[in-house]
Order: sequence, then C-alpha cells, then structure tokens
Amino acid sequence: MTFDLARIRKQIEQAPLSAPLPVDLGTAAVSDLWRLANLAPADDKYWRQWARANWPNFAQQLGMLAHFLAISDLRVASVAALRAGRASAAEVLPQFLDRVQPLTGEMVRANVFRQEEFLRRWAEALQGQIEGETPVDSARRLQSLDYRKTLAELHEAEEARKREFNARAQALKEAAERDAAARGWRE
Amino acid sequence: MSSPVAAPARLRHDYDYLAALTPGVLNSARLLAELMPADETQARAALAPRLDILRGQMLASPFWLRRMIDHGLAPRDLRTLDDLLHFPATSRADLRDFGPEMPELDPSSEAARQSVLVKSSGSSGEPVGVFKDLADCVHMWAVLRFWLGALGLALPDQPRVTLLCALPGGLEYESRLPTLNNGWLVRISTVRQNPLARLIASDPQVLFTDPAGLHWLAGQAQAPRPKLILTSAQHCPEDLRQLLAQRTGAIVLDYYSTTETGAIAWRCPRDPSQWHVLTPEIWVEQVQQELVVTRLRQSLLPIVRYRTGDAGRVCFGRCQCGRTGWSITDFTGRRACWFSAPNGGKADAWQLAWLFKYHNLSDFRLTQQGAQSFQLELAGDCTELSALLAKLQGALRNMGWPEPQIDAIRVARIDQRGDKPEPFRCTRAPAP
Repeated sequence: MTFDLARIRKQIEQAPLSAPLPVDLGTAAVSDLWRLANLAPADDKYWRQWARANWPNFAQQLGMLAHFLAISDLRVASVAALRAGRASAAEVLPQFLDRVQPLTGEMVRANVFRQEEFLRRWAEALQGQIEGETPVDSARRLQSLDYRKTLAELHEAEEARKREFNARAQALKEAAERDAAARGWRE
Repeated sequence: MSSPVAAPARLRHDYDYLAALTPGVLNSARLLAELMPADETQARAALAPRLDILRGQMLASPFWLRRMIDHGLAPRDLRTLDDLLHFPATSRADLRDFGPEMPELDPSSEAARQSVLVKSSGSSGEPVGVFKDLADCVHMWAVLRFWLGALGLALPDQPRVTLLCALPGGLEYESRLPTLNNGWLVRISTVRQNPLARLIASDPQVLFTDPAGLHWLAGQAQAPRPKLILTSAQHCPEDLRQLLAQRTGAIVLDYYSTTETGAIAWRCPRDPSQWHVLTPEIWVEQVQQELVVTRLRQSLLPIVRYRTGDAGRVCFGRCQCGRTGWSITDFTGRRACWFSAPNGGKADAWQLAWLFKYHNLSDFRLTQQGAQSFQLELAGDCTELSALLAKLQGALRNMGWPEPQIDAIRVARIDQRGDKPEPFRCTRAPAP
C-alpha cells in the first residue's frame, strides 16, 4: 500500500493550526485505524505499558499522529496498509515509537524535516511504500533523516568542542590581538 | 585638518604566507566568472553541491551545533537551496552575543594561528567582532580579479592599488600584494596632510574608496587616472558615480559588501538598477523585503542566512549586460534617503555623509521636517558643533536650500528601527 507523502504533507501544511490532541483522544484515533481495517485494536494494557515506556515524547507524538490522521489522507493510507499487512498494534506502535523517540511534538509540527521523518517512519511501521519511490530510495531517505543518529553525532561533536574550550578561547584571544594586522581593509 | 587617531597598522612583512594563498584566490576568481545556467532550476541545482561546504562548517561550529540541536536540524537536512529556508536566520545580534562560538576552529591548527578577529567599521550599525581566516582576508583580491575580467580590464605586473579613506582615524600604510600580480597597496587618508598630492603620486590602476571618498575627490582640482574605481560601504548617488567616471576616465563600480559577509553583489555598469550577486560563492534570499545572505565558500566562519538589514528584491534573469543569474533590484540598503528640495525635486541626503565622517552613524541623525527646516540629533561627543552646523548650512545651500534652518539637539541615544542606524531621514510630507 502506498502513502502519497507529497499530498499528505501538503494537506498538513494547509490545515489550520490546532492544539495537540490529548492522549486519550490520540489513543482513540489511532485505535480506530485497526477497527476500520477490521482488526483488533491494542487493549488498554498495552497502552498503559507504552505510556510508561522510555518514550519521553509519547504523548506529544500520539497527539500529532492523531492530528495528522484527522486532517489528511494519512488515515486512509494507514487503514489500507493495515488491511493489506494485517499487522497488530503491538507490532506497529513500539517499533514506530522507538524510531521516532527523540522527535518532540513541536519538531513534528513545525520542522519540515522531522515531520517528513515522522510520516515516513509511520509508513515504514505499517509496511507501506512511499508513492513514486523505490523501497531502496525510501530507506536511503530515512537513513538521511534519522534524527536519532544525527542527535548522537551532534552531541559527540559538541562534547569535542567543549573539550577544546580553553584552547579555543586562547586562539580567539590571539586572533583579536592580531586585529591591528588585519585592519586597513574596508568592505 | 585633524590629527590621526588610529593606531599605526602592524603589517606583517613576511609576504610568503600570502603568496601561498594565490592559487585559492585564482580559483575563486575563476569560479565567480563561471556562467550560470540560463534556467533558474538548473542554476539552483548547480549551486546545491556547494551546500556541502556549509554542512561541514556547521558541524564544526559550536554555535551551529547548539542551534541545530535546539531546532531539531541536521547538517544532512541541507540538500537543496530550498532546504536552507528551513534553517534559522542569523543576525547581527547573534554575532554580537555568540560571535566567539561561531567559527569552525581547530585551536591547534595553523589556520587558527593565522586568523584574526576584526571589528566591523560600524557603518552598518554597532561594530561587531568578525572572525576572518587568511583566505577571508585576501578574498577581495579574488573578487577584484573577477571584476577586472568581467569589465575587460587588464592589470600590468606589479599593479598599484590605492585605498582612499575618508574615515577619521587617519590610518595609512603600504603593503605588497602577492595575490595580485605582486602589486602594491597604498592606503591614503584624506585626514592627513596633502592627500591629493600623495594620491596623484601613487598613480593607481585601481582605486578603492567609498562615497565619502568620491565626494572628496569630486571637490579636488586634480584627479588620478585609474582604470577602475570601486566604491562601497554607503549609498553612492548615481550622479556622483557618473561625475567621477567622467573626470577620471575610469569605470566606477559600486559594490555591496559587509565586513561580516565579504562582497555580496556588484552594481551592473550597463543597468544600474541591477546588483549582480557574486554566485556561486554568495547566495542571497529575499525574506519579506530583507536581503539574507549565505556564504557558499570555504571559511572558518560559517555565514548562514545572515540578515543584512538591507532591503531589496532578488530575481533571476538575463541582464542587458549579458550576464545570467541572480540580481538584487530595488536595493535600498544603506538606508537611502531623499530630502524634498525647494524646487520640487529630491536630493540624496547621503551627499552630506562626508560632513559627519567623525561621527559613528548611530550617533547622529539629520531629519528634514519642513521645507527649510531640519533637525540634527547628536548622541556622541561633538566638540565643534558650531563649525559642523556652519558646514552643514553651507552644504544644504549648495544643494538648493536658500535658508536652511537647523535645530541641533543633544540626545542620550538615537532610537533606530532594526539593527541599522538611519542617519538621514525625511519626515516631511511629499509635496502634493
């Protein structure tokens, strides 16, 4: 089943801003997908377990997912993917939540790259394909967007810069002392 | 004639280190001369690989690392020029507050040991520290080489370049130019004794100055005969440009540059309404009316979506000079201001800028309030106010006001819109 990502993102972009949905409504909206696909939704036991799991942005992500389902073709594509793949909520949701773990609701709402990553991860969890792309292209794009990997790289680079802090301050001080040698140019 | 106030220049005389930069300068000049595809989509695609430079710079800059983490961004997100729109802009305030965190700087590297931290002149607002590596310091010679080629001008071996400076510091020096055919650079200050005689004696092939220098030159009995005069830093009135071109026989090229970004664009000699962007090293976006600059060349200081505070429209097309690419039109940077002249016409207020060359632009403001009435607000020190007012009255008379009335007031500070000062403004309603 394919997800027309370009269309879904356009619909999201054009929809009016709204407050994130509360967790209960988010849970209901996501569970509806399984009902519409004639599958059993996850029972409360799972939802309680997921809410306590190590997903700090769980509530925000659920609210954003429910919002996107309400305002775009994401819902239709998701139901079609579930009908085709017949994956259970217990198979889909933990995988999805693991992979989007660092994405906050605000990132998903306002940052085009993280929103794309979020939607692609959802399609991936439902074993859907992205319209107009080969599975290899989609996997490559997801690898490029992977914010978990990015965040690790950025923190590692930031730690390295912090270790250089004193040497860096000294280098900047010396650069300022060389100011007079550089003067004379006017741009 | 005032005494010089600037500290003497401390120039290095081991020029070998500059000569080593010549290949980079030549490469930049060659890149700037490369033709852009005639189709904008293709031209954007041609620039996209240069975003790789930014990705590397941002990953090595503490400021950008923190900013990317805070905004949920990754260097890999930056694949096209359109992607750049989703990265946060930077401002003069960021440079002021986080300047030391911005450079990509390996403290143990030779590049770090050769870099300098310069203060911007303040002509575009409050001076800020700008980190420059050696390549940044000599980049202007690459741009000059490109302009010479674009204008069909050739320089001899060991060309002479003069920097005519009307700033109050009075700084002067001479220096070799290994990156420009082993030429010589002479800086002459109009504040020092006999500047005209020394300017004529320097016999430059290229003369760099600004509109204040051009005004000074226009008022002199003699003029040098360079091939090219370059002016920047402030709004240059078109009639002044034409006057100097006539008097000297030189091409007078106005260019748009800031200390923070380096040269950004140059005013087309064929169509003065067009300012050609220095692609592929510079990318300019128009955000609302503001020009936002990204530097697409190697430097230790990433310039990413820098808000210049200048206004203009950016468009792609073919200019009547034959050049295809991005140009800035309706450029109103440097706060162009027109006073309403008594004859019903308009007069470029920046013609008066040279009178205020001893003042920081953010420390004074001359406002036309009525047909003959002006208000001069002064925030800085001015020990010779009566002399300044006498000169200002004389200049306004020369510009067409028979009886200008100037109300001079002292203020603690001048309120300004945005980051840039507005030393000239007109609040008088236009004539019906």
